[in-house]
Amino acid sequence: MFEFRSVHIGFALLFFVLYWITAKINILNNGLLFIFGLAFYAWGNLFYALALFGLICFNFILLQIFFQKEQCSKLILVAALAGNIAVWIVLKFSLLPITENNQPATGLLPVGMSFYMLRIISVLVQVYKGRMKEIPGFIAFGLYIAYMPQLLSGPIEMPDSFLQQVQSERSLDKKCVQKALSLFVLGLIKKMVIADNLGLVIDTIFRLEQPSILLVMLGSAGFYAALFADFSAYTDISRGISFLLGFETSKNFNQPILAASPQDFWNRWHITFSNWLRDHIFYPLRRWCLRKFGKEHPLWAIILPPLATMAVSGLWHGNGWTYIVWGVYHGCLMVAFQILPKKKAVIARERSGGKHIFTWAITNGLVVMGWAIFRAPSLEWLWSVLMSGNIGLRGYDGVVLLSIAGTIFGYILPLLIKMVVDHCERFKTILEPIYYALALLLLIIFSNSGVRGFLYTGF
Amino acid sequence: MNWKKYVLGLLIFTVSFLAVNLRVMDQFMIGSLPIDSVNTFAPNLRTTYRVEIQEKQPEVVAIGDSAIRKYSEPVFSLNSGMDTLIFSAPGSGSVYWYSFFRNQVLPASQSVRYVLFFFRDTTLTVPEFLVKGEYLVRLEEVAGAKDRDIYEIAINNRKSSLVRWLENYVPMYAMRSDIYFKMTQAFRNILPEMIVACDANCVNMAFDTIFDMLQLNSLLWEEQFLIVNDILYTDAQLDFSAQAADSFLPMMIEDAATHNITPVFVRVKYRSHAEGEQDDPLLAQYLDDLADYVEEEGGVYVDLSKDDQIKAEMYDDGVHINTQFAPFVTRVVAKEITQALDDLQ
Repeated sequence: MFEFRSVHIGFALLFFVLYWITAKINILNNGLLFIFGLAFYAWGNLFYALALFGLICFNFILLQIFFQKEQCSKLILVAALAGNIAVWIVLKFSLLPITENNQPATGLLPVGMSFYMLRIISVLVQVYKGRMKEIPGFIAFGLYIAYMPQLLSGPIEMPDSFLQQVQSERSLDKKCVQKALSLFVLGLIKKMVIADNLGLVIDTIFRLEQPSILLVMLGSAGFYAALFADFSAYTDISRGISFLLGFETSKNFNQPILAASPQDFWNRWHITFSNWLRDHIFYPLRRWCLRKFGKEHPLWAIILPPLATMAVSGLWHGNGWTYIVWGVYHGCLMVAFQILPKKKAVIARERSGGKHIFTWAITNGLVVMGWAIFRAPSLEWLWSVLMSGNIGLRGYDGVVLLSIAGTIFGYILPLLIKMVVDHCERFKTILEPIYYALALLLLIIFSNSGVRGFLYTGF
Repeated sequence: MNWKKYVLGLLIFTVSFLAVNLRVMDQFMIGSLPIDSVNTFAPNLRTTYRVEIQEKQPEVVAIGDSAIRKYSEPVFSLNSGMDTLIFSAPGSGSVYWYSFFRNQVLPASQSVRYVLFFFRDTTLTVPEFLVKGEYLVRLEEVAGAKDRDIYEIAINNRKSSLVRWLENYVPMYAMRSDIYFKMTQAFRNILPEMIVACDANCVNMAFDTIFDMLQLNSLLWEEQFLIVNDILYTDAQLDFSAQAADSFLPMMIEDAATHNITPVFVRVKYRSHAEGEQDDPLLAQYLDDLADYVEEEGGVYVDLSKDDQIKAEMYDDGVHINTQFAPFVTRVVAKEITQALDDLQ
């Protein structure tokens, strides 16, 4: 759990004052943001900050070599990627034995490393492909890797658009402040009202030795809502801070609940990560498959890229089998939707009518099943639940199902209302102020305890 | 949103804020400010543990977290020669154990001679460990409105002056726990009531049946408390003399002495101990000080981490004993404790 203390607020205020005093001097401004970002990170754990700084220095030197020796850049790229990924794998998969304070050995993975490692890979690949015409300075490069608001859980910005913002002069206008304030309120509502409370209900279900099948499915639906609220809350707050720093960062979510196919889901969920996977794994693999198997075996190019991409996505999320199987499961869904008869694919793309509702329901049902794999304590646990044959309508099971369904619905109500407000363009002028005013009241009631850690910082 | 919307929003917020506060004052019968009704737990506590102790009248009651969940009561009773009841509350700390002792053990039995507190490292002197959010809900099972002193030590002392001020002068903030509770109960009960005519009591029964404590998966509890365990090992918490007076430890000893019960503080052995890991020097010093303090005050201190019979392979994970080895481990623990009690006499 994380608690805000006066020292955190003091630290933030000091930073913002210094930041905006130096707004006209770009290099000083960026330097301040970079140093405060690292200091903030080191505050949590000095080792993590040193590891991050070391990686920034190491990769900055690699960039210099890239720009100097173009002819051997492929070899250097492979070595650079291998070096970075090796560090990540060693730390992520707890290959280094540690125990401290009588705790069982866990990982040494610095918080946020899974995110900033993807940024490092992005910039290396972009430079290799010649898409970056000039080498960024050390501070600009460091800022791209360790940009404070996105350091712990992304979003994973692409280097070109972000570095462009780093190099331009910042201004703080009233629109930025307005956007930041609404994002903070929305982020806090999502985190403190929805995610943290739903999390308690869901954790209880997944702690049972052998719950019923319907209870797990309901828990999985609740987990979907909680994870969305938690992760998008982080993104909202991070975007809000970015606006106050004069940056505009990516949205990362676009109402994933409206997805009408697995592909559509990944275009709406954790968008920057999906884009990263598409650009760095899916497209290259697809090109390779087309070259290798050509028109004779076109199925390879349909099956292999989504499967491999989503397996990597699973592996990125965690080192348990549940994550890998979840990734492969999503890969299979993508393949299945792609090789459906064309007529059905067209149906999936339709944006209105009963057929759309059907594909929407199927997609969301499948996505919810996927979250059951992701959230299950282990595959054996999930298998034993499925094999138990206990659907969960006997005795008190039905009552608990109804009760938890009501609880989940109650908690996600603020999200549903927000969706309605966003879609009512005509009445937005009055509905938005009412929504945010009531949201503030809710926050007062739900400010009952410390805030739990953001879920995605654990990946 | 543009500024016009912000002004409108602020206006709506102010009006609704005043309206809600007036409604809260009326609903909770708050006649004047400052308010003095929130600095304690909810009125009702769970009495099933007390009833069990009353019925069984044990000589020994053991309290701890999930690390003692697999201990066997019959094996412990047989090897200690005393009827024993073991209560394991996953994800609990000293505030839970003391509340349990005060509200469940003391009022229930005249037969209890020994109370065993199974603890981890510094938990006995960190009263704020596991008291927030979901842990507060669990705590309210064993602590009630009259336990203002417990609330003060574990929760109130840790509040900032701003929070205290808000709790005194803003009714809806002061009553936020009650409003929160009513909202969650409404969410929980509405569908069963509407669809299957199952009222609040019926829903409670259903939850008790499905989410029985014994069915909880201990591994996941471990994950939960690993998240918050950092506060146990700060330099300040490892300074026993600075922490003891403001903790529940003196109260545990004093209440036990008043009722002629001998408190026994048992440090749990984890797999890392079995693997030969040594304590950090600061922690080792803390534990020496704790042992001296307990013995000076008439209690008994047992450090299971020094035992050499419980092996690393007897654990499911870093904390929990494997079911297969649970009887053996219980026998070892019972004998160690009985030996310490014999030494005392």
